[in-house]
Amino acid sequence: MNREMPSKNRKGLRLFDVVIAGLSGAIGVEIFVLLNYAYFNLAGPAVLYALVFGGIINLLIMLSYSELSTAMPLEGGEYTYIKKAYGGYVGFIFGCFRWLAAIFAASLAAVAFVLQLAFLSSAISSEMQTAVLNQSWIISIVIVAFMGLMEVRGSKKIGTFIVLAFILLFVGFIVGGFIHGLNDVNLLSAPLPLGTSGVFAAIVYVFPMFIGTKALVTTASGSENPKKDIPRALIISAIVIIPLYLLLAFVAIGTVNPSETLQQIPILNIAANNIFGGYGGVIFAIAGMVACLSTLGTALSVQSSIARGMSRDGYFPKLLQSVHPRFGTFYVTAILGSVLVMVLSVLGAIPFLGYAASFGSLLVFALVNLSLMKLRKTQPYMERPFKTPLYPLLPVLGVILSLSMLVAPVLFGDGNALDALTSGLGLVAIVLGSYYLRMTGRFRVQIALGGVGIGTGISLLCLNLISLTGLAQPIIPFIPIYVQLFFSVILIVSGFFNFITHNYKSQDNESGHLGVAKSG
Amino acid sequence: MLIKKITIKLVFGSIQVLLSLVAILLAILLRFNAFDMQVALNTSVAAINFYVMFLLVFGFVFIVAGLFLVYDWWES
Repeated sequence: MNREMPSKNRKGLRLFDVVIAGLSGAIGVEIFVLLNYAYFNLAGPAVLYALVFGGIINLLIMLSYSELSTAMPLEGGEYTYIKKAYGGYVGFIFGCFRWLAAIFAASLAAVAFVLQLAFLSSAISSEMQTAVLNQSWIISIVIVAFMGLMEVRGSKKIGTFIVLAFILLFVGFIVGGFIHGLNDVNLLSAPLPLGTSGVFAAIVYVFPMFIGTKALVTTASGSENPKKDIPRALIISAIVIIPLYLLLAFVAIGTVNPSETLQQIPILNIAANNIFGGYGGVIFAIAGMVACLSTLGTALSVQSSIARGMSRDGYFPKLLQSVHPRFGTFYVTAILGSVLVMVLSVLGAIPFLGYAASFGSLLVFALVNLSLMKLRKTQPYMERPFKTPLYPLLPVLGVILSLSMLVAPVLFGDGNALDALTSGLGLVAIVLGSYYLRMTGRFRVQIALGGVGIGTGISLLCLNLISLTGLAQPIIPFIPIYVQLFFSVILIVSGFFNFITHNYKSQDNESGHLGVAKSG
Repeated sequence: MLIKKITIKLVFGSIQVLLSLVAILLAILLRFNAFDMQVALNTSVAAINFYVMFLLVFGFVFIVAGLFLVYDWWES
């Protein structure tokens, strides 16, 4: 949902507004899509345990957020805390992961939108539903392009009243479910798709449903009384969201027969269909689409804001701060983010995107807890209106739980998580590598890459020439040899120019100096 | 002469970036079997990881290298 609160010029935000900001961060696309994977593939009805664990872990982490946000009620949230504790290097890493998490969350929202649209079309005809599912990648691209355009044009966000409408809708669903009557949900004897370990693996997938509550930290600078209201609001919203989601899942599980249900169809929609008839399913599909659009818009906005912040700090190119001459918006970051989201949303892999979005957030949570401990040590006299109870037990627990949640699904045999974790570690390598390359200096890197280019180009050229003679198989058989030959020539020439770039610069500088000397 | 070299840098840098982007896109499509890519390209399951890793690693490295050349042109 929308993470931004309406600005109040004279009065600051009150406790209610800040709590709503937290809930609006938590109520989003995740409940509509990730519950399915956790229920059908990992934990079965025991997903309820996973929800409780996920909610409690979120609550523990929010206590650390409370301390830091009241000690530093400045704009920037986690970025400010981490940078203050560990300096620019870790701040850069944080920024990259937060940016990537926003990109993955936006992609997840785009894919989920198509699922909701497919469910809505099923109310019209099954052929239309099939057509929507078959053309899902086109719809994803169109919807991301539309939202990216809205971001470039600087459109207004959906207001807080939508959050209240969602809460009412969910409460109506729960009450309706109990009136309608539920099947017996026996958690102790229910079959578990992956055994007990599946429950632990499911936690990482249900966890993104809760983490949005931290969004209210961004309202700290606008709050009337941040020192009191921010910790209260963080704890209230983190507590309120647990029974809300638990009851939603309980009613959904109690009204749906898993053997008659397709896993691609959101379980909440089917449950609403069973409880309220066809209209219930349609209303939930529309609500799901609104949630998807809202999450997509917010995530695009967040990624743009992070990219600009890092550009301001000199980590990303200054080009990212370009302002559109007509709309006055940051169009370069909006377009760049939208293109990345389009590429990822074409994959249509909901579990992968869900885990990847969670991956960035969990690393950030670990860093926030570490920052809290570092600041307690290095700045013991800093004013802290709220102190995390049971220090250092809770922050240490926060770090351990965040990191263990990252690897739990892999250890418990969730193959999808292994893919996502491998990709995540690859991204970590790219982030760290790019930082070190930046610190090494541009020309050295350019010369090194030039050498790599020449070497790879010559090797590729030789291998392809040998394969042309029939003595060996081509290295990548599905790419035509003439394309590989063309690429190898490009690599050699580009590598050569990169390799000698420093000579140009030196000559250029020397001639420049001589010019000045002569003219002088 | 220098202007010609700078233009050549732009041309080769841009082509390299484009080709590298295509390589990364191909790796992603191949990994997730989007549009039945694995069947369409007739790749064995065992070799997919190798191709994906190869295309991704070299794709990223050569995007950076290509962007350096484009940046040289931009600076000039």
